[in-house]
Amino acid sequence: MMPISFNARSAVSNTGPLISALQSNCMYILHQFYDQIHIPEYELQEYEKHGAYQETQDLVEGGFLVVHRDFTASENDAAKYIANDIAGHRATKDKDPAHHLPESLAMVLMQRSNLGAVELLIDELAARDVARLRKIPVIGFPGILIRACQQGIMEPEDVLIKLNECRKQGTHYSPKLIDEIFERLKNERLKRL
Amino acid sequence: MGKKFAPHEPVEDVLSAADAFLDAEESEARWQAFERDQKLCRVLVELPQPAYSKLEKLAHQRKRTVAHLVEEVITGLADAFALPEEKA
Repeated sequence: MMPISFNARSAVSNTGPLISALQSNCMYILHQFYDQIHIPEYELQEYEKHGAYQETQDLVEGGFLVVHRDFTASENDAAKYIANDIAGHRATKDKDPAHHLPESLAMVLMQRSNLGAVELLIDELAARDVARLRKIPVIGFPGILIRACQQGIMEPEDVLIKLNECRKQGTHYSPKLIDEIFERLKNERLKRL
Repeated sequence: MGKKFAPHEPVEDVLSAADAFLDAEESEARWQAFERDQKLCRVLVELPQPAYSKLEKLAHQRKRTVAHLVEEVITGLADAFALPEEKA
């Protein structure tokens, strides 16, 4: 892997936003915003389960995805503590802490100062709340598309198509969420004209 | 669209539209602060196809992102075309 310069734009990602990017063929947007995305090894099993094994391997080989396996005992303990908080959150339907370990380890990565990660990509409400309580900056996949639209990389219609494509493939973006984003982006465009 | 992928945690509630716009606003502020800190200036480059695809392929071969490749090429060009007094 080629060395990334000191000012690499780094983020950490949970599984959901990267799956959404693959579902909607939007990986190029992530490539425009980030130089490196860090993930815990735990997430690799999830990508495989979602049918994204090869795509993930390509991203790892290309140096865009950086997989972390080197968690210390205290980091693993911290992740378990975070996973308990997520499982106990009123917004989650999955009350098994073990199922929340991947996003918890992603939060632990965000807390590593040497990584220089600026934000955590995550969509699930409960995990986002838990992250915010720990002062971890978050952005969901819809927010990434909104940024892309506000920067002129995409049009509101593209955002509508991309989010609908994720929904068609089962991702939990509701029609209300998608319509509200589309309408507001269209209004923003009108104001710019 | 091409290949399909199974959704991640489809039973879990996700963020609202208001959250998504707040995400975008806060993220933009974070990256502007990052650029100020790293003394970076943002440049929007619009490339016609197939130029972008060629660049994307080249970046992939070199295990670089398109953004980094463009950054390196522009920096190199700026050095090559620098005025004599700037080189001194």
